Amino acid sequence: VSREELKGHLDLLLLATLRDRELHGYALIEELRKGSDGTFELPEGTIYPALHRLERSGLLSSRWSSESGRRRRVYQLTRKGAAALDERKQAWKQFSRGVDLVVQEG
Amino acid sequence: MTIEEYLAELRRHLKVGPLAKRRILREIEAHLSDAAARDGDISRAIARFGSPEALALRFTNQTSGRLRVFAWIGAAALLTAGVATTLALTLGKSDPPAPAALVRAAENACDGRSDCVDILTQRLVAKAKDFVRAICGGDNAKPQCLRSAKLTARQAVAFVPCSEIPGMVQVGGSTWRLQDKKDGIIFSDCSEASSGGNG
Repeated sequence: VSREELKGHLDLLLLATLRDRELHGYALIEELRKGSDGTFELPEGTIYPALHRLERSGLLSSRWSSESGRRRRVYQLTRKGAAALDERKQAWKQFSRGVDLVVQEG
Repeated sequence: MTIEEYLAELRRHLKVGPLAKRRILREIEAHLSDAAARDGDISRAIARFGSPEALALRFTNQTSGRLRVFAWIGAAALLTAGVATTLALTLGKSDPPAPAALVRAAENACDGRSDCVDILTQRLVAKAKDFVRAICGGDNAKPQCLRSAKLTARQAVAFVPCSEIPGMVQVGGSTWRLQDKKDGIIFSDCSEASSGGNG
């Protein structure tokens, strides 16, 4: 998936992957890859700045977590993030349905 | 390139506030260490982050010029608050936090949570007054204390070192988070928040 294609959808993908769970960056990337059947194999250099941006927007919160002696920064949705996810999901459904209709017509 | 070399380069190129820089470096170091332990191939993990310059630019571009100014003003204000707190506590209580300790306290406050408490209540406003009193050492006649005692949202920005890591200070044994909002400043007692959930 090219960066251009990804633009505009990255936030939705990150928010959706963090729905109902908290994950650190490494696990998040893995979940995105597995959850998309390998379609979204996003590099760390894209994910971390995006996570920081979403946190600054109040859509995510984060904390340090220690697991087996390793410290990791884990992220989770805030209430505002959960609401944003619902909104963006609706917008995405509408958008993809529109594209489907046009493409099928063609 | 080793992890240390990558982080040193990244540190050199990151143009964000000191707390944000420290957090970014720690987070990436943790990730790279994880990757090295799992894959045993550090060069691949580093490659996935991209060059230190490009990565730094991605983080830096997220902070607008205005926010960067606030970040530096905030860092200076936090340092000033630390000195004032140290003086106040020296007069009143033992173990005054040094500025460096203040920075550590800020990083460790709420165990890194950024969502300690986000509701302004009368109770917290009352505590905010206590905070101002502690900063001023009981002398509200000082010009800077008068300003602190009449904090507006705009002035409150001075306490926020950067938009992603809210300012936190330790006063009287409690760690406080200070965050500017459109409708005023929020003072949150993180020690309460961490024991009471997300607030």
